[in-house]
Amino acid sequence: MTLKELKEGQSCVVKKVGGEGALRQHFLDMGIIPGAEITIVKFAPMGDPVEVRIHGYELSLRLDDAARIDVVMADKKAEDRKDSEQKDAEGSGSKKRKEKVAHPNLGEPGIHHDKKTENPLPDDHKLTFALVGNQNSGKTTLFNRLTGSNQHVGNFPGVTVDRKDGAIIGYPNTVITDLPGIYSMSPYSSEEIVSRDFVLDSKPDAIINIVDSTNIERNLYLTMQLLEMDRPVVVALNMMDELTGNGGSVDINRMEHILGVPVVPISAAKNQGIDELISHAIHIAKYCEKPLEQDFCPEGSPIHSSIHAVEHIVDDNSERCGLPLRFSACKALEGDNLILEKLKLDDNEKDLLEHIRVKLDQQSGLDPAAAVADMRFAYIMQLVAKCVTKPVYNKERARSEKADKILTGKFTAIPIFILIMAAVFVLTFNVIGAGLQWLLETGIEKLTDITDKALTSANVNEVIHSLIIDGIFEGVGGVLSFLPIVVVMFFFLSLLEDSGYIARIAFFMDKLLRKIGLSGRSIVPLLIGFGCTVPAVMSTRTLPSDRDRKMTIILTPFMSCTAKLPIYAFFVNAFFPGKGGFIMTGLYLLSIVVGILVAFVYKKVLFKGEAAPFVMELPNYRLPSLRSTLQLMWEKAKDFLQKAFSVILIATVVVWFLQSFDTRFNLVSDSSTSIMALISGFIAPVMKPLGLGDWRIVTSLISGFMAKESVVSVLEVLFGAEGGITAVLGMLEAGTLLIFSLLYTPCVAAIASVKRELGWKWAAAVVLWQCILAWIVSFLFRIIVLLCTGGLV
Amino acid sequence: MRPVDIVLIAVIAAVIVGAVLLVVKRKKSGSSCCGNCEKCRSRCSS
Repeated sequence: MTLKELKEGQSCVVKKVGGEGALRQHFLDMGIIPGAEITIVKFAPMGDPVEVRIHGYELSLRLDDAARIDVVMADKKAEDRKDSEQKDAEGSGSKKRKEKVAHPNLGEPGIHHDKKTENPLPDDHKLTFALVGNQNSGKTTLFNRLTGSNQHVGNFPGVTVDRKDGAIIGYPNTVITDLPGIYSMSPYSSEEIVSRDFVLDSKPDAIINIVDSTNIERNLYLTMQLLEMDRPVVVALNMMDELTGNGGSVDINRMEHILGVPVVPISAAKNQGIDELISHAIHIAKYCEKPLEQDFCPEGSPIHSSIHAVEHIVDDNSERCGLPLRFSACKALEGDNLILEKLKLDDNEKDLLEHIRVKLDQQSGLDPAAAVADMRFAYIMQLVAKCVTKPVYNKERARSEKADKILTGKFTAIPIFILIMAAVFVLTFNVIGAGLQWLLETGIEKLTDITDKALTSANVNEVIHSLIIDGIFEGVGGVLSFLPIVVVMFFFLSLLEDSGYIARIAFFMDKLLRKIGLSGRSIVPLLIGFGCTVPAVMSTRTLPSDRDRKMTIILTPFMSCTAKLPIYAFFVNAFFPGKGGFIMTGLYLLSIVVGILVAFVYKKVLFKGEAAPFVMELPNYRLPSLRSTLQLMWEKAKDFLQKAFSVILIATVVVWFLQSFDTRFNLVSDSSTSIMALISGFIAPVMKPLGLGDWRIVTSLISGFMAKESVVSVLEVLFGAEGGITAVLGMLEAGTLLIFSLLYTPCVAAIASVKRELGWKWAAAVVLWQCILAWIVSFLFRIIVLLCTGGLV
Repeated sequence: MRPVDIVLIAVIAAVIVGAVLLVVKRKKSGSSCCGNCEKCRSRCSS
């Protein structure tokens, strides 16, 4: 039978792991190995995917993937027997633990290394560190503690998609790199390739391996592989406060003794143990203290002889291409193509390797990739039994389970999701954001009035007066008033992400998203897209398949970003007063509907085939950190202000200049004779069928390519007060313009990020395609309204 | 041209130059190594 056939609450033992390539390796790396026990926790509200418990943590996977895993039902009696054996083992472990292990002093300044033979790096050498760990293990929180920087953190696997560098506080001659979270050194997603290549190619002086102590088995799997990299490693056992708070503990001395590297208990969130970690990291890097232990295979076992036999085969090759020997041997045995290509084995060596692989399969009953994973997990289980006392009751887990009964419940998940999103939008656009916006708007108006009066009384030159008031104050001031809405929107997105809820959305939306050819994980970039397209495009790097990444990236601009809000608000105030909520909701729904329809087209034409498998860890719910949320709000406010006083200010001044002077640089009394009118006149005929042939409208839309907020500032410069535009456009044209603004090309920053991820061709295609689509949809809207109303609007 | 106009022109020019410098700075910081694309990978590893 397969895992797919099990019901909620049932347990089984893995018999065989099917699938192929990277996905199968990922299954193995996540602990789904023959002999592992799996319990079905729950099914998503739509029946797929399924959440399972394995090695003490929760993992979600699709039923199609579960069907590739052959299992046998766990025998209750055998299970009880195993439990009691485990208790006995733990008991003997406790007995062993009673025999205290002396502190091995690894990484302790001046103790471990031999003073006579030590060979420290020169004092002026810049020490380089790589911060490596599983997703959601607290790497960025630790990075911020170590460097004093303010990188964004979240409670969702894969928040860090970019590597970030910084110097350790108090040690200016150091560089620490925060790498994207990975589960193993096997390349499954593009971020795993980034992290693996960094460790292999850049050869940092030391690796700081952050381990989530509340989920120690799976986290140590990566540690095993890092030890094989033959670089100095220090293990930072994070979230120790949570483990000890629940009654658990770790025998640090014993673990350090067994692993052969320094182990430091820390709590990055509470800033505990950080100084000790820094001193150990600096020491092992400076004195090149490599791991004392790399051989984790039981002596005399088939896997032991196989790895050592492969080591002999790849010895020269790994040295030639600068790869660590043990790592090369394990990867060659697993059949990692990227490493095999680097090793450049000759035909003879390839034959020998294949012979060893076949023999291992016959002797152990496991294929080589499964045998290597099994060897690592077996070692980890022994290590954990000897060194870790697990909490009987996990408060955080129990709290999450309670919350999940409602938030991911069969009948409650989708309604609650809709309610939460509706609350976010109402609070952002109508209550908090709108209230704060009104306050800021009033302040800016007063300041404009005072400046205008001061300039008039000082009898300032007419042109300079116009530039300051009609150009800078109208343009930049108009955009600035939308700052509160943008910040409030990011505040809510940050709360959803920090709490761990976004991971649940991915879990229960997977089945729905698969219908349009995407995976549940794509929901994250799409939701972030409602804030800003730039980080949304970047966050697609967490998606394991190239097909899903490309499709999500070109769908993200369809999600209406916060920069477009000023446009909507401007037209709602001018044309549809009192109907803000209705119009805004309609626009957001339209963007989602168009996005879905476009996704169907992409699925049929551009991206045929199925979405990538959904294998994801569901983190415990956590209370969002006030510091992290405020930090993100400040970053976004700073970014918005910088944009207002840079790009938008320049665009405003340029537009003011072009609409105030003619081609002979004479000041014009009627702006229809200005340079701007001449330029926009070329494009205006294209927009005429939409009823938007006015050169000023065209100008504002062109400026929107620089930054979406510029559309409003340019309209205010060109039309003056809101009354100006109502004289030129009717309600139908205003609606058409809103739809066109919603769908036409993203801003230059978003295009740049698309270009960075997919290249110029895709970026240019996005610009062109979205402009054409925006024109078609707007035209259809106009025709339908005209037909329905008989041309009365 | 009156002194007040000259002062205002100088202030506006300074603001515009500042804005241009800010755009350049943002562009530079935005183009830092992403570590993901082929170009960055070769640049970072070199």
